[in-house]
Amino acid sequence: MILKCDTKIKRLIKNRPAFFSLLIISILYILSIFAPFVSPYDFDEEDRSLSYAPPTKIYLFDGFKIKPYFYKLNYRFDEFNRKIYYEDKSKKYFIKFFKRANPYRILFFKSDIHLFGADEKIYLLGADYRGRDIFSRIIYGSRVSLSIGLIGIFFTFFIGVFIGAISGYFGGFLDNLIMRLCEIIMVIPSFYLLLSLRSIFSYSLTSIQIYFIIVIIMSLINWAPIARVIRGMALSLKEKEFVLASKALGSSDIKIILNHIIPHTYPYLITSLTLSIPSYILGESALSMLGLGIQEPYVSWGNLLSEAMSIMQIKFHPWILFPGFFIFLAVFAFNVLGQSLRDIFDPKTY
Amino acid sequence: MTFIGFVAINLAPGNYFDTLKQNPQINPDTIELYKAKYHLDKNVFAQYYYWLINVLKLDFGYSFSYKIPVFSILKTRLFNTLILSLSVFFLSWFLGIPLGVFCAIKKNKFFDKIFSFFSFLAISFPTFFLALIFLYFGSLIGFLPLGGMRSFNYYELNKFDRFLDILKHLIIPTLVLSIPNIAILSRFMRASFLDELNNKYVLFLKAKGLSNKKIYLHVLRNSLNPLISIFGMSISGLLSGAALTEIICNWPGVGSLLLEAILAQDLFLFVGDLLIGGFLLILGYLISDILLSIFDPRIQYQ
Amino acid sequence: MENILEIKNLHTYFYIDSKIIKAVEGLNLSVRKDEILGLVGESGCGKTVSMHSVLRLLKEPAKIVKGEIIFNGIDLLKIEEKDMQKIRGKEISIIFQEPASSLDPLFTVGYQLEEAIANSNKIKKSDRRKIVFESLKKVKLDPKLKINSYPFRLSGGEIQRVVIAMALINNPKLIIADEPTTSLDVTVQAQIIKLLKGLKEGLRFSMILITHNLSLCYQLVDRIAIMYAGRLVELASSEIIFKEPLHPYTKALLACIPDLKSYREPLYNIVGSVPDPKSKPSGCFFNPRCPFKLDICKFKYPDFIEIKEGHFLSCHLYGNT
Repeated sequence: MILKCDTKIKRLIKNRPAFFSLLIISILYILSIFAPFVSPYDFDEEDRSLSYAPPTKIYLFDGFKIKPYFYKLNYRFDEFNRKIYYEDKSKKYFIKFFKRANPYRILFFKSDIHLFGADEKIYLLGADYRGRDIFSRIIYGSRVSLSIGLIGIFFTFFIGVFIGAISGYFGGFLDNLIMRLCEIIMVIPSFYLLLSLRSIFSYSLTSIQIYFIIVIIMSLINWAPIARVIRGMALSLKEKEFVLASKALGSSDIKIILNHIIPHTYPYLITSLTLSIPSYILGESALSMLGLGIQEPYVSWGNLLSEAMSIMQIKFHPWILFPGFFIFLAVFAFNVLGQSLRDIFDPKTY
Repeated sequence: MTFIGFVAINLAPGNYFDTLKQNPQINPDTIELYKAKYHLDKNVFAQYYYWLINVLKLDFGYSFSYKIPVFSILKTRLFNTLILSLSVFFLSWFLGIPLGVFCAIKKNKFFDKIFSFFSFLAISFPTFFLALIFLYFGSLIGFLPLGGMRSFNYYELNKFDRFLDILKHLIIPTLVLSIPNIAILSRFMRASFLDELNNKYVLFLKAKGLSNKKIYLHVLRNSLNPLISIFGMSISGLLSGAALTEIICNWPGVGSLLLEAILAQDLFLFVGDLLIGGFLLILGYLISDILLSIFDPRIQYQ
Repeated sequence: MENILEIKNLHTYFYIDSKIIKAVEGLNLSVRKDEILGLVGESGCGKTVSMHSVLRLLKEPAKIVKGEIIFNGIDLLKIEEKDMQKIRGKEISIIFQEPASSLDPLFTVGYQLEEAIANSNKIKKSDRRKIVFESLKKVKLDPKLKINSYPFRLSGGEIQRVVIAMALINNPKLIIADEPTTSLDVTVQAQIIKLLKGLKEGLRFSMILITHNLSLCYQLVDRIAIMYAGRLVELASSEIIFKEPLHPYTKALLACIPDLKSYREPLYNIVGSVPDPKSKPSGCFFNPRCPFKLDICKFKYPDFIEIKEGHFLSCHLYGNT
């Protein structure tokens, strides 16, 4: 039973978890689109003298006014020749909003205004080993990590739905063949499959090529469960009267599939596509973290975590783990949204 | 599945032999010998055929990067992965099922709500990130070994201390892998239990005058059945998740071997590893089928 | 004649979506020792709910709001749950309507019968086995064959026999049989009725037989209680009910029984339908459908009075005002 569109949207808004997850997701995507504006620095802006600088301590009150400021960082070496940072309290640096800094371009729109900045380096979430601002890198990285999900489900949708619908509608040998194929794909542990397929391609591709390869690989893995369910739906739908009626009126098979069968699958599709976005984000992150995904100098959340693979670094500079929280946040938000969508579409719970 | 892997690594450009050729220490004649012995000069299908035959004789070929037969590497790695998997399995099921039942009985009360929320969080948490966080906290605490399976003085210790040593190293990877598993299992168990409670025979059990405890035991028995079915599927997930965690925690198992083999372009190693992985998987499904037939009298074994 | 069970002014309501559904509204019923009482009424009139109330088997959102249920001198509604457990299955047993879903599919028949034995942990295993054997024989099932079978292997009739065996295994004083034959084939029905008759003659127990089938009562039952929309409308011996029914509803029910002699004549049916439990009519619940209704029937619910000895009635037509 397909409910009307506006009731669904109303329910979506009323459902608190769904609303909040949608809010979080929208914020993340807006941040990623406006990445250059939001980040104070470019993703590859280095400052080796401030390698592994800790997150800048921000003081909110200057006297009695709310005027956030911070101190410049100085360093000395301890007995192990490690850098220890301490604040140079001689001069206060104020955080300026809408500061002019590096110019950038978002689509067709040029500017050089950044959301905030200062005369000295401010590291909201700390710096990596090359002194690059982790906060900025995370924001830039969201572009890759979040977009992969969207583009991925685009492919998965097409492949999964069409193959599933055709398989269920026509049945017979074709159906069997496709279902066996789906089962094989679904049986293999996803990570193994991911690694294997990735290994087909060489290691020295450009990041853009790798990006698309990852998308394609993951689509190839993810379409299987969706196709199975769609095929089941097609199987039951094709016996229904309106399909027979359509046939009696002379519609071709393709027309029937497009107009009658596929629309009925929308509720399920929306839910499972939403729930499959996390797997794209996680898959890309995992690959990049292992060095098989997005490479330097481009940024993705997984890429950022690859520095965290070394235990020593985590122990002394735990802030390099921050990208992981963003991954978690995005995955969590999508999962909540997917679950809520499932509840909304299920006529039994409402 | 192995066929795909075989083809895959062969398609990967860059033959290991080229690297070997550049190594002046190795006699080029030896390389030719290896090439001939393992038929690497022939085309893909022939190679696969020969490899398959060899596998049946338990000859997995020769690892180029380790320079010892693949089989011996696989043996140890398999053992390691099994240790990890079994400990995760036991921990998850021993904690997950009781928690699930408890949540079902105290449905919608405080514990249930809090636990469900945390379960949801745990499922959404990326395993590799969880591993990293655990390693971080482990480093803070200081006494838990981080990564690897054996300390460097392992071979100097006596048998019992060796056992303890491995146990210590097991803690972090096991915890990391168990947490999402416990979450999923307990949710499933709760749902299954609640479903069963709605069955008619439960009312009859109450009418027979059985105490609540006995009724719950009956329901438990029935609600375990669907869980056994997903046992097979969870093996697949376990292997998958374990691989990544193994890599991060430096646990020398079948999963981390996969990555090494790919990076080293070690053909036989990679493919042998895939085979083992596939084997474990099928074993998992087989076990779950057998278990199901034991526990459900309605299923006949033909 | 002693009364083994006395239900006094029982009210059981369902609270759903801020609405109150009065499933049982003021039920007064007694069961004598060693008698079979038939509780008759259409679907939805509250028969099952009232019997489940007796054994306190109800779950949310149902609640027993008022009343007393006296069994052996104790008010069952006031005792603790663990004391109630001592009564269920041992002093009072119940047989459900659908035999197939009464048994746990994962355990053998023998196991479930053993489970039902009171204080089974105090009885030796070999004795328990004997008891189970005997109980299966009583219901005419071959113990050696059936004791280790699983429920899915048994036919509906066989399962119902097992359930009856379970109900009898502790020699209860009262058995509640909730439409025990409704879901069975007609031939099997006859067998079960014959079995129940035989058992009644051999053992001593009281039984409340819930049914919507009056002809079943004809074969088995001593007294009949007719229930409508949550209350009793008539109660008398079965002889009187069949020969001289007084309440219009009872008369209508009897008229509904197909008569072999009036072959091919249209079957009688009662005009209208059972009232929606959420909104029952004012006055006598049956008044919208009653062909004999008086003006007072629309306003005042007739009291349930003993108009002749042993014959109770709730109807304004017989001077109950």
